[in-house]
Amino acid sequence: MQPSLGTGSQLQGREDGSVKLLKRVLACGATLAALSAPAHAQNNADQVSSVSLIAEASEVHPGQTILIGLRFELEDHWHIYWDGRNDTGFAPMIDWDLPDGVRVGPLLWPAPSRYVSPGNILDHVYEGTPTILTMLTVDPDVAPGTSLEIKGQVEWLVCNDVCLPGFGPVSLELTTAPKVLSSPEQLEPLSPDAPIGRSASKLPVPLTAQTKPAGLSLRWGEDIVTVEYQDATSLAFYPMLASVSLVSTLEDAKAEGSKLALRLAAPEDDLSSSDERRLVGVLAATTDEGAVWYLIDFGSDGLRQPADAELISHVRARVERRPS
Amino acid sequence: MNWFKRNGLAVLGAVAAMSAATSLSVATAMQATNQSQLGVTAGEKAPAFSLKDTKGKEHSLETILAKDSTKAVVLEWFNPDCPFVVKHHKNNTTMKDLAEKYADEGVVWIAINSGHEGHSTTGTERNNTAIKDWNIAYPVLMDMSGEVGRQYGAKRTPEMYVIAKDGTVVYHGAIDSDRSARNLGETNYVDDALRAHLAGETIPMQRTQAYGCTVKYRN
Repeated sequence: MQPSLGTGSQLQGREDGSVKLLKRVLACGATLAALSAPAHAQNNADQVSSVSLIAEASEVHPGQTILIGLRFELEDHWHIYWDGRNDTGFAPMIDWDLPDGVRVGPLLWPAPSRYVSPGNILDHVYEGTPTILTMLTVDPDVAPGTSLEIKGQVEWLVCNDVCLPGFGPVSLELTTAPKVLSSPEQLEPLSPDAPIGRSASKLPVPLTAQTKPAGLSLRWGEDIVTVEYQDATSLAFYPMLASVSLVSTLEDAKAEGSKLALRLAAPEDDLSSSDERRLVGVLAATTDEGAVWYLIDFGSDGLRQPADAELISHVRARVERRPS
Repeated sequence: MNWFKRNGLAVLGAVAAMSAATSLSVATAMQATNQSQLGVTAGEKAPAFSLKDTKGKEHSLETILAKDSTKAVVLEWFNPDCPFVVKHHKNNTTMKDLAEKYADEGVVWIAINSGHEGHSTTGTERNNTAIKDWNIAYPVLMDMSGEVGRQYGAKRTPEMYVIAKDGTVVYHGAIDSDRSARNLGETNYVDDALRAHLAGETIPMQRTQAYGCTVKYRN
């Protein structure tokens, strides 16, 4: 019973790829992985993934805020998890160890892809070289010429047909620039060709009355939320942890065409963050102009500004615009 | 500021504590919204099954429930090479300890591996090795067709079901409140469910979101 996915339950892999071929490759990959490290494979994600800390600049002025990123490099067909509602796995976590005078903000997650496994199992994942962003601020009173070591312990899970847990340190050396800028926010535009800029360009646009495109409408019903976007040729919704539960994210939250009908369910006991039922997550739309993503916080009273909206808008605004 | 806690799983723990008080109404409402093709959850009838374990012995849920000594049945979806299963069987002995704790109280603990034939994590040999390595005292049933797993709607390993004497699922979800592959959760939902159920009390959390690896179903 999967009208929107066709043979979805028979497939494994990213839904936007050549899935059947991928499936065969995956099966081989899994067998090889299992054979190559039988005893302690579960403790060694390094075979198929690595993680590092990167920054948009190596020098930072006291008082300035720059973007840094947790950059993963994944072997083909392996994935890590988005920080939203997934059936399995968990999203990467970092426990920061920061020098005095340095602060970081919340993690900012680029739009993921849906990943369906046999048994109607749905996850939202990243493949390739995903970068999870955060803002790093150096206090104005940090002395120029100070060497700042940004450190953290990262925990992640990398899976294809089998899963390997990863855990390890990351670090990054920054230096405070000789003097405080008169205009500390002045930073170069982010190139969409570089890892941080590419990730920034995939941050979902916080949807508000101001940013909502004409042709996009949301309707709240007691048991169903409908999303229509006239410009879209396909739509998907990726629910976040704060969202109301859906009866079937697998069946309802992806469709060809311009409309989604999301049936609302009661929450799990451990995920009901409040009595208020709101649809919170990422709306992914394919339009003639390419893929677009919106961050949505929608309830019976309409749209509300999503969490971290100002931060995300600020980062997005820094991505270099290219004439199309 | 501790962003690990803000971004990580501690949030779930706090949310879990907050929502415990409202679980009764949630459990009632949820019966109406879940559909049979999505498997079963708390409040619904546990599908009957009969499966062989890794030693070739047949186990029927119906027969187990009919025994006078049986007060409840725990089903644990299992895959010996899943890091989350390893967390609870090798790095810690969560499952073994809980099964032992309630064995004398008439709780029958059963593991089920629904991985398909030919997968590196399935088959009697691989699973018997795990049973031996981890001193598992309860049977691991082989469901290589995935039929039982799909009837239950089990998607992850470990995914837990507590079944009452009358065949009703009274708890469905995670083993505990920490969804990582490394740390144990502060709350063990299955322990809480069994304690309450055997005392004739309302189970505080009847439905949580299980975490783990995908069950390796056949395509």
